[in-house]
Amino acid sequence: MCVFTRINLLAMCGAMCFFTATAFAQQDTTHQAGGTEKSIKNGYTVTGQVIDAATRKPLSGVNIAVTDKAAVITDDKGDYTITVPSHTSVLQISGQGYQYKEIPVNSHDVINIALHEDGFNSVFDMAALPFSNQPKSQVNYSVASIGTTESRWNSPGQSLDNSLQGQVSGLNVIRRSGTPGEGANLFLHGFNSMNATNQPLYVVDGMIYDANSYGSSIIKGHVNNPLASIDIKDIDNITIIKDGAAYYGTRGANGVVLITTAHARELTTRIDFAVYGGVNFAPKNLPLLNSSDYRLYLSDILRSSGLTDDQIQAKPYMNDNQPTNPDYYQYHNSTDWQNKVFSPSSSQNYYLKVTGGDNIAKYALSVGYLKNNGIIDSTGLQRYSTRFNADLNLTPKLTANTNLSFSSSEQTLKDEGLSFTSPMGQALIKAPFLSDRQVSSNGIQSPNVADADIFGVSNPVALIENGSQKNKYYRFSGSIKFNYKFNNHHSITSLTGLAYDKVRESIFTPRLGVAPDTLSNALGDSRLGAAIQRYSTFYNDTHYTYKQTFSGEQDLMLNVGFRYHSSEAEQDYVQSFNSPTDDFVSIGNGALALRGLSGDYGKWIWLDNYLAANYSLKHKYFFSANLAVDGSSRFGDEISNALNIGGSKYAVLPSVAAGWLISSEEFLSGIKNIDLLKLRASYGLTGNDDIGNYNVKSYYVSQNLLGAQGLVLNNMANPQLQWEVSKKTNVGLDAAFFNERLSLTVDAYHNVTSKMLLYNPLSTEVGLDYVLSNNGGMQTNGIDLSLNGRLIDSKVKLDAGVNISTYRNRITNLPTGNIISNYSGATVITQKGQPVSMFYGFRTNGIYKSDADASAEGLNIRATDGSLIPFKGGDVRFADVDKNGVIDDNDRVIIGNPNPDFVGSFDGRLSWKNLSVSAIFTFSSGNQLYNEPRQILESVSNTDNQFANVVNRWRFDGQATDVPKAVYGDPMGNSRFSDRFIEDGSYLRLKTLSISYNLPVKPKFLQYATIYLTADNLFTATHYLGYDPEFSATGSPLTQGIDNALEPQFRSAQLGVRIGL
Amino acid sequence: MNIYMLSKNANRLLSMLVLLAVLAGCNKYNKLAEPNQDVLGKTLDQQIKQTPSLSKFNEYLVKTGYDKVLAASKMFTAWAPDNQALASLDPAIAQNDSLLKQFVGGCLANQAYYTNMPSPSLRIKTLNGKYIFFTQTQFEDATITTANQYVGNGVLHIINKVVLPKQNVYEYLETTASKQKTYVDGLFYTYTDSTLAVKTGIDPQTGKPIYQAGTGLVTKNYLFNRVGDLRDENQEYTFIQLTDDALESERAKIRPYVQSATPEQTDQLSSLHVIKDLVIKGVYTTANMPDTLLSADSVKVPMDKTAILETHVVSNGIVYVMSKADVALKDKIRTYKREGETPDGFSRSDKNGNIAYRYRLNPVTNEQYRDIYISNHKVPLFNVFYRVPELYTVPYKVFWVAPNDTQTLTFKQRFAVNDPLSTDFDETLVGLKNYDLVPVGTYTPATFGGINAFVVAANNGVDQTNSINLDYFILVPQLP
Repeated sequence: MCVFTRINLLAMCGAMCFFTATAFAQQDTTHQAGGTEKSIKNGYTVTGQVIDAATRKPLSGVNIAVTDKAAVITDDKGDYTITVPSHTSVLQISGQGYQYKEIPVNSHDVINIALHEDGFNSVFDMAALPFSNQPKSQVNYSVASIGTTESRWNSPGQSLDNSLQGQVSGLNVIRRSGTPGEGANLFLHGFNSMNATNQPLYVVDGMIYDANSYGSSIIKGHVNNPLASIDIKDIDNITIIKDGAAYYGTRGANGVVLITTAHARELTTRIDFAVYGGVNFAPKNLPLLNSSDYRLYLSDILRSSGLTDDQIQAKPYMNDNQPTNPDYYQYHNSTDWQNKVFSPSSSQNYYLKVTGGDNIAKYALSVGYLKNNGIIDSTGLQRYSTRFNADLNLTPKLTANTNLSFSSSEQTLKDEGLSFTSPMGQALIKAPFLSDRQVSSNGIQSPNVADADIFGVSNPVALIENGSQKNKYYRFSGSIKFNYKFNNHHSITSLTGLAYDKVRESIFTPRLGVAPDTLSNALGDSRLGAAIQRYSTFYNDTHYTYKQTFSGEQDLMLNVGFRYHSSEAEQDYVQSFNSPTDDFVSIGNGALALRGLSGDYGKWIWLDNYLAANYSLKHKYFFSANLAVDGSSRFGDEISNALNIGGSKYAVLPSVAAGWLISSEEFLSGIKNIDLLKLRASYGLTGNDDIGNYNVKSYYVSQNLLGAQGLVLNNMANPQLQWEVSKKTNVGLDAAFFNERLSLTVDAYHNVTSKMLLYNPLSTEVGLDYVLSNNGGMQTNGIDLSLNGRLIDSKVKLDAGVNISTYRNRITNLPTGNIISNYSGATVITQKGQPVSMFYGFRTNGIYKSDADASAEGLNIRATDGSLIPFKGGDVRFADVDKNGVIDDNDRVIIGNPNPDFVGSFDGRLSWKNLSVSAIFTFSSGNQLYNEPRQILESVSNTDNQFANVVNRWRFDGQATDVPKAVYGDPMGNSRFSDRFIEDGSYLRLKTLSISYNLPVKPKFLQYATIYLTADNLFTATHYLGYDPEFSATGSPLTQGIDNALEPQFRSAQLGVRIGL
Repeated sequence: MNIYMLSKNANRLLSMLVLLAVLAGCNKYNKLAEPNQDVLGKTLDQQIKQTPSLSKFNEYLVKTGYDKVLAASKMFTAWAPDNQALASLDPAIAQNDSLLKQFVGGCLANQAYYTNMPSPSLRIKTLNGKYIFFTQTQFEDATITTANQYVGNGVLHIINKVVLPKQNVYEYLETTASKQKTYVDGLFYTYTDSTLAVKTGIDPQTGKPIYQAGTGLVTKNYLFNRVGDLRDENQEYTFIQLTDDALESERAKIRPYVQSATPEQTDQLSSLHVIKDLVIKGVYTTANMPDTLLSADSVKVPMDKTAILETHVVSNGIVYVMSKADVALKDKIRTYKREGETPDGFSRSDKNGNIAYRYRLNPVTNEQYRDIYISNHKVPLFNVFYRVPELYTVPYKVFWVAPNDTQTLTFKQRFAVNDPLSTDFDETLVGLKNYDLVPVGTYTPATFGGINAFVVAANNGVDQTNSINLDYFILVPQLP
């Protein structure tokens, strides 16, 4: 099978080149055949036996081959005899149901081979690279390959990006939130850029798959995730290029994820059907004050706000005298608002795949349906997807492959975060003594939802029941690839693809139950909005391939070609307020005067000319070289020291790599237990073209001033603006011992980003805030380790693996000086010599026990009028870093690092007969998180409900506690951004625990039937006090580790069955 | 062997990690969510129950139902007398439910008050509605023996003495047999508040509503209307209780000037006009008492400390029994001044465009003043009127300031009382740029009470010559 794929991938042709080259190609074929026979005559005979590694039984029918030279099949006793061309030849072993393996002959006469089963994590696994499929053992670059794994079948509802979590060392996958389909932010080898993207490039079936979300969602906390439209069950292979292999030029700086979807493997018709059902469990509630503790807290806070006792006692919630208080029942409840917002939900997934065909045409058709409800009440994702892949042998030399996919999804969401339209955020701060329904003066509950409360907090139940946030998304992606094989050496390939993508969103927030918005000229009661995002792209990749095997065991493959990619994206949205009643929910019903329209448009073209060469000598010395010459509509035309072609500037990005298969050397041939020992090194330049579509030009935006409409300059053009350059050096070692029962991959890398995009502040007179310029620099060093072992190999098989990676990021060049930015209540600083984006705030050391303690320390804050206000008992003891007695911004220091020391995973798989149990743990260690919900819930400065530990707030002079006193408005800034809210974000999570059982079936009736029982996120060990330590609101390094209350990860369980016909 | 060891170690590592994770994962919030001090989980009610020295007080709490209040989720302070102190409690109080409730309520207050808060003292309203004084060491006259025992819903202080609720000024006065009591009580009156009355129908003749007899009756007191309710615990008063003789002499002094239609009304008015100046807002102890206090009606009251016969501290202030409080007539019967720009009405309501309320600068004093200037209205005898609330039965000389600073012509205007067409006052010439007081005439009220004062334009419709201008007018009483 693997041989077939290799040959299959050789040589294709671009449509324009077919006809001119045909004549030459036909002559070449016959000449080649003669050469093959000749080399075997001078060969060298090897014999041996092939057995099953677990049962030690001989295996018959196993194919043993030497590329293009010889091939034999083992007999009934597993014995074989093969004549190979030289002592340095490599035997390629493959058999149905068994792993693919390569063994160097290395002058041995007898080679006995023990094969593991198919799916065994092997160093010879295929990596699907842009121009060929190669066993990992032959690749010089740092790549990771994930073949068809069970996890795609036992956790079928995951999106592609989420499914990569814990699979690849060096790839830090942080799920954005728990919302189904929301996806993840991927950071391969740490950070490479501050302001441009850090997300890897996705290539699906040879075509660049733009996974960016163009334009922001009008639903708070939501990110549209194009990767969610790929059904992971359709995926055949995922290969990740981690180092600087210049395959994709100025788009490869953050690594490349190459995805191959399933094609038919055989001609017989196969039907694969799977159905799953599951439950999602609501998260554990955060501990908040109960009704009575909350009211005690409220007494303190109202008193500190300056209300007199009589005014406080006159509040309806303080009057416990039911007959005289008409609002008694409205204000004397005990409501757990989190329970009103979170609820368990269900998931379903159906999948059908049919493959088959004849020797002219093969097809793979799949259809899928997914319905996965969220744990916020009334939210859910529903998706239909279909994919049609075909392989056509049009003539003996001309083949074509098509890949067509369409997916359509509809998602019901709720605003997330801490805003007053977010049910989750409001549930945290809502007074527990209120009811979600209107209550009459004699205690009778109405079915109508209660209005926003006396404190200005919305009713989460009103947002859930009457609010509506909908997202409809579809994506079509299709490509056709022709290849014309002139002969075994020359071929031309051309792939042309189109993608079209559209997002429609509509939102409605009712007026009943929701706090109004204060607009510039009106009060916004109900809010309405609609948005549309469009993305379309055209893609062409045409290249010529030359492949030659020379005598003396040399292989050469050369690819030269170009990629053309033009894209267009547009976003338009309209927002309005105050529809006549809450029954009018569509945007047209909003008040005309309050309607606002806005939008965004971008168009860009990228041209990548490339050359890729692979050369191997004696199957143990491997060399690769790549060169990319990239042009883009985004690049400026005055870039200095850049290649100039016709007035346009081009990025020239080379890379080289070498590999040495030490285990094939003769001096190691005597050592039996080394299967593979390979040293790799690569150095390459890659780029990042995410510098904005129009920043090299100046452009104008519309502006309204006192009713007059006009255009104003929006930016300062920088015609020198260019791609960011990322130099990547990587050294790696791959090793496998004891018939691959222990394998190991270690990579060490050093990435240097120069020409890093920075926002350079301008002086006030300019009238603009920033100009973009390529004057920054950073570097990231790191080590990835991946270790796998088959601990027990008998009837019972136990595999265990560990992936660990670590990186250190450092800003090396920052001419703008320290950059301080704010996001969601957090302040981060980027400064030279430090990692990008460190938490920057105040250091604290407990609470002043008494006024005497506070005055002994003598610290103050400065009031706006310049006077000093001393800290008192119950205030937070801030560290006075500059020792001037005043706590102000100069006392801020780095108080945390959102980068982990280590991230990785442990996995294990136990199988016995038809039963297998697998588990994958993911972990992150040493990273710090900022807990914004807790900052709000421990601010002790307003009428919001608080974290349960606020019962311990300081109340009495001399009281030793760790929660400051309750003071309305927080005049001393006790809840400012400080290390009180920075928490250890380390966690260990059992991401997936899965049990699968292959039902014994009669092959006549069914091919196979498997039952899956899977639990996701079963437990998470962490000290983090928020719902969940894993979140990533945006892909920017400047916002990592900042918890702004997105829907948390949740536990779920699924039961599924997969049937093969 | 390597693999075996690895497998063993990996297994051990894995199981340890799982164990650790499970242990760490379970109790994340438990410690946080609980009070870090046991007392914070207790209520004030429980704290008192669990204090042996307060068993008697706890018994009274239960008896009065205040134990349930102290168990509620609001903040409270309790100043609990210990058993020893409560032994001295009058059994009459202990056996009378309402008195006991008064007493216990007086030991409890909303909100938590710690001894570091008074500086030097706090006046705190207790649950029985009365105020007490709290200092760093004292609760009224009781000493705090154990302070600041805080619990979840408040703080407990233990005191060594029974502190009984005090009377307020009015309650005190009612216990006396003084004439002042009689006169104050004589100032009560009843009227019907239609918003509170029960409407039974509508009179078909007049269209006015008919109210059920005996409903909507509201009792008020002329004195309280004027100087504040002496029963109000939220206020603080210094109240002078005159001896009967002194009171009568003060009444005789004012009587000629409050002549009314009937002798009874004159009697009532003379009582009111004496007693209103015996109520002073705020508490003045003898230590901080100045020679002269300002009564709630802004009349100077000379305070002769030697005339103080008795002093009574009450819950809303202090009462001095005095043999003398000789308020001078000239301080009671004062000049009335009315600003021109504050009229109560005009003879016609269609001339707003001709009426200017102006900010002007007096070039003589360089001071800003406001006035009213009515011009070009073309209405003969156009007038503006001012309600004057009360005039004593004494001759008043009338003066005004009418600057006439923007016209080129002089004009005449007339002052009139009660009838705009009355010619009791002569027309007065309003000279140009005259910032001085101009005598207008004299008026002597027949009875005590309010009047309507008019400023009437000249009897012509000619612009400039029929203007009205007034900065202010004054009525100066001519006391003998």
